[in-house]
Amino acid sequence: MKTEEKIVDKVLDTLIDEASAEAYRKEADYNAPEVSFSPEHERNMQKLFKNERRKYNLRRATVVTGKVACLLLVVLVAMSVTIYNVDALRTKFFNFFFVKEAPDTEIRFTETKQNSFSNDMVSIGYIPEGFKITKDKEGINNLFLIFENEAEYIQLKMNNLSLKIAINTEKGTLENIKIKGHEGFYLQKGTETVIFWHDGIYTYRINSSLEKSEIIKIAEYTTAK
Amino acid sequence: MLLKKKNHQVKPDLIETLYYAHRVRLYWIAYEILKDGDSSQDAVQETFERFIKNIARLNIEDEGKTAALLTVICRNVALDMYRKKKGEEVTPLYDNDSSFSETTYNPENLFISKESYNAVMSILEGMDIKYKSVLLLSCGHELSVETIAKLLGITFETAKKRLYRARKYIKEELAKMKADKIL
Repeated sequence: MKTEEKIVDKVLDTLIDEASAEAYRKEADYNAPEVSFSPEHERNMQKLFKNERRKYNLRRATVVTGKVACLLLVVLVAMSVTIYNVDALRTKFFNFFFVKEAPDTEIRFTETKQNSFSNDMVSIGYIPEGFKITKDKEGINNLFLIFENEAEYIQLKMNNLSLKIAINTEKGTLENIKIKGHEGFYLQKGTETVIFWHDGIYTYRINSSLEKSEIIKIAEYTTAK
Repeated sequence: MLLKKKNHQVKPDLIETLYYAHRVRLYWIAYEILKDGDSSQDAVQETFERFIKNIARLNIEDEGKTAALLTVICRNVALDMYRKKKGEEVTPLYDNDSSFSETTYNPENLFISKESYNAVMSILEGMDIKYKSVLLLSCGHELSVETIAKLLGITFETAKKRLYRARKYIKEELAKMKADKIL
């Protein structure tokens, strides 16, 4: 086809488009006399619309469910991030699942989530919940810490091994123990419990109103830096 | 506006409203072809079934165009039913209509005038419904060939071929009118 012919052809196509569009609009014009439809037809049509309503509701429900699921996912992720990053929440969360609801479980997440203490000289990985440090006195060769809650106390004294240590064992019950494989002893004197041990560099002494198992646990988590 | 744009979320109540607004008109359109009340009612039902099935693809914001769309669908449904009744093949894969010659027309011989528009309108009026429907849906409702095929219950290839042949037929008829000095 030549260029001129192509142009005429395009003009013709436009003409056809316009005429067809007008003819299409005229398709809506129709003067129709009334007619009554059979009950069967009415029933079939109602069935068709009922089906369509059901599908429509199902589609809407799917969309709403999807949106709710997305929202829940976002909330869940936000909660997880918050719980993971905030220590207090994390402890409560794990307590809820692993301690409160299942006290006999072997999984003891709370052990690593309790209070801890660390300074230039020592790191204490376990301090029972509720205790706060009330004294932190650090010398060249020694350290003295006191942790207290409303009713009880924990004292930790660390000294260089070269220093002489004196402990009053009078009227007390003495027992040999091992802390992290190092020699030590346990002393029960009235309501006070004392443990003492050394690691070859420092001597450690814990005095407390807490029971023996708790103090030994604190000692096991105590490491010099 | 009767219907909203997001067609996949068109409320069924609105479709029902459309049905009650157009069913009598569609009935008589089908009746013109089928000459039978029950079959015409069936044609109305089939029209709405096809309409609902393809509603997500259709622009039904314009009430006039929607009415025209239903008319075209109904007329084709009725025609299919009529042919089926007579035992004719309804939707051949490829149309082999001999009324459409493969000879080419020469656009150069055509003179575009005001009368040409009216001539196209009169050619459309007398055109076979199966070709006219495809052309009207394409130009009047701007539907894709795929959607037209689905609405009319024919294959994509058939719809494409009918659209091509409809345009060609009009051009040839115009050329004939010009040659006969009618234009």
